[in-house]
Amino acid sequence: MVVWSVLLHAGALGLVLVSPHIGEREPPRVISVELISPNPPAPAAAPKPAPAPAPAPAPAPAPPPEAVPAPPPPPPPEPKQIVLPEKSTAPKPKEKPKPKPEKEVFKEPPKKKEKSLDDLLAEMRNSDTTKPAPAVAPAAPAPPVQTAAAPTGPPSQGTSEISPQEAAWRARVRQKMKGIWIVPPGFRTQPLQTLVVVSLDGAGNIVGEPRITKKSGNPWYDDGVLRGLAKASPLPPPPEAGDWTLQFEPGDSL
Amino acid sequence: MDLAIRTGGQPVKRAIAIGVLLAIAGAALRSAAQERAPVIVNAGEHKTYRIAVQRFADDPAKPDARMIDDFRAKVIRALEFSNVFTKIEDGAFLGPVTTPPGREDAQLECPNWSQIGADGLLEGEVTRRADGIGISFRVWDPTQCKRLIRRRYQQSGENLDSTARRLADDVVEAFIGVRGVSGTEIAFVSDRGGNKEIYVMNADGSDARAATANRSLNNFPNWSPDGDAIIYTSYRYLRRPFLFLSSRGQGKPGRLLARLGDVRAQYRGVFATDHERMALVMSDGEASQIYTVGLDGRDLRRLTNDRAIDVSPSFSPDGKRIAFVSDRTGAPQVYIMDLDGGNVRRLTYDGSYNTNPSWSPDGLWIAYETRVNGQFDIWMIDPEGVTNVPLETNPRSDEGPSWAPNSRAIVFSSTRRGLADLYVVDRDGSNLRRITAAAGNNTSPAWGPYTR
Repeated sequence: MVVWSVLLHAGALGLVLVSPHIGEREPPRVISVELISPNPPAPAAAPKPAPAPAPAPAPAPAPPPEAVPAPPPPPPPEPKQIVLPEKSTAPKPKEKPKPKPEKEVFKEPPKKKEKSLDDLLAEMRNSDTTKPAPAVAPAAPAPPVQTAAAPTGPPSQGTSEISPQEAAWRARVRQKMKGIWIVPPGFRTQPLQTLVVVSLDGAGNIVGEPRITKKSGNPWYDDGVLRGLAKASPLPPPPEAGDWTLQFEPGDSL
Repeated sequence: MDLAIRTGGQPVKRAIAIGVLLAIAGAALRSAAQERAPVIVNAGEHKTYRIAVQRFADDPAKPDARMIDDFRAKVIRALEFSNVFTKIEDGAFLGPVTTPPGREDAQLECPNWSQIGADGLLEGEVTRRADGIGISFRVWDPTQCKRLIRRRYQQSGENLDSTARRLADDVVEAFIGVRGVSGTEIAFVSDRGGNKEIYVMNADGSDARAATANRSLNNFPNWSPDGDAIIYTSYRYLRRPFLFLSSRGQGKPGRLLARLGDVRAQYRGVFATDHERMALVMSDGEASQIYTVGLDGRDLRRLTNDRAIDVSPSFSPDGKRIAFVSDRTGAPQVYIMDLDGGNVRRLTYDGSYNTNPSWSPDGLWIAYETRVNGQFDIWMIDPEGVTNVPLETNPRSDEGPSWAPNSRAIVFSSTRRGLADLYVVDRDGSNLRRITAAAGNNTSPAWGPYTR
């Protein structure tokens, strides 16, 4: 009891803050001195991910105690060591409340797995597309347009009608980008969407720099999209040279 | 048009009119071109960036090849632990394996690296001084040929292990905007030495050290917000559970809350986000209830008040709410309440036995255990209770989820190999890694915060 009341006093945090800590100091500290961090992609005004919280601590003169190679010093030697029998006899904390004897009966129906992650992803995607999706025309069917058959048709029909030829090209582009574009796991569960315009020549080469016309809100995701495009040229030869918009979304389509 | 009229001349007016017409026509053409439906691209199989990690240039004055190689191996290990990078083998390099001298301000020969499919290149130098070691490095994106970060660390002492992890975490941040967690720690309970003691190890499972050695029974470690201390429950006093502090900072190690006396058992203390208070469970032999109290034992407030068992408090990251478990309906379920105990709301409705909630640092999810056929699975649910998804459903028991400080992964214990081991899995269920290998059972993990 006496011992504990001593500890009690010592334990008062205010006191502790003032009194020097007796515990041994950890070995080597790492100190960040200087850092020049050209922030990655210009942080877009974004909803969620705070733009690069500039990881730059000012040149720190004072060594902050650093990610520690040392374990917390073991607590001081016990007044009296009480060796408890493991498990069984020791009054275990009731962390897993045992429901009384057989209360289990009245329960909710046995666990029905709710939604799979895929469902969830689909949901997020759908709810997302309904919001900002810039007129996503169904990439698939639409009755084949008779006029569009000619490979060198008029510059653009200005409609959402897509020829079979163009639909096939779109599929090839999707396929190629899927094999090149790297999407780290953390991005895959987020409703991110980036639109990029690329200028393609007749052979599918990307001419000039791709231009982001709609940012996702996550500059690192956008940068990853550009990284993917940088590795993608040439794309399959397009139905016609010129500007094409690519819409990058994580998650599998449909 | 006003302008044209005032300037008088007909030709001017006509020219303007024509110009306007042309502009309209041009705009129409342009918008037509842009109105083509976008080509929708979805993510494929590839989840990790390929990175070439050069061997850092050694200090010519005091070369130490073994240290340089060891440092590089540690950086690569930490980069791969992030699940954001895969290393490119040296044999594939077109450029030099070791960073050549004089690279600090030089442009990179990007084609050397983009041609081998590198999404990233890490280069740097080590300089040794009387007062320690300096590490400077740059990270490049060779595909776009731009430098992403350039940094310099200075450390006292010779051991570069934590510097390697810190460097890797910076590189992760440069690519995904979220800091890596290889430099963080995980506290856990292990009986590898015969008794249940608290241990601390690096997040990748390396370098486990004992934090307690009292040969009693210790459980439920929980980190202070600054990562300098751990609250844990121990039976070392009176053979009954009370709360203790293990500290490497300002906090005084030893028993906490002695002011509250020895009558009521205390367990499962968790730091509040303000570092001034904690939540805990106390019981006087009947029902366990949840309280908050100052770390000094003052200002005790009872949050739950019923005949049921209320346990397992977990703070929301803003510190304003507490998730907890109650069997008030007859079976353990996860609930959420405000910090003052008001506004109690039941969160889980699936399953007849849900416990051990852990609120993610980004606030978006609460991971918890659910019992299925006598074993536990780990699920996660959003705080509004709208979305409830499985994370680990191995037929053996998966328990005690705790979130990485970047909210991208969870550590938990599982008996899938027989004895309980700790595993890390990404939030989307991918990239499962076992991080303990010692004998004995390893349970009750608590992933520590970023420290810096």
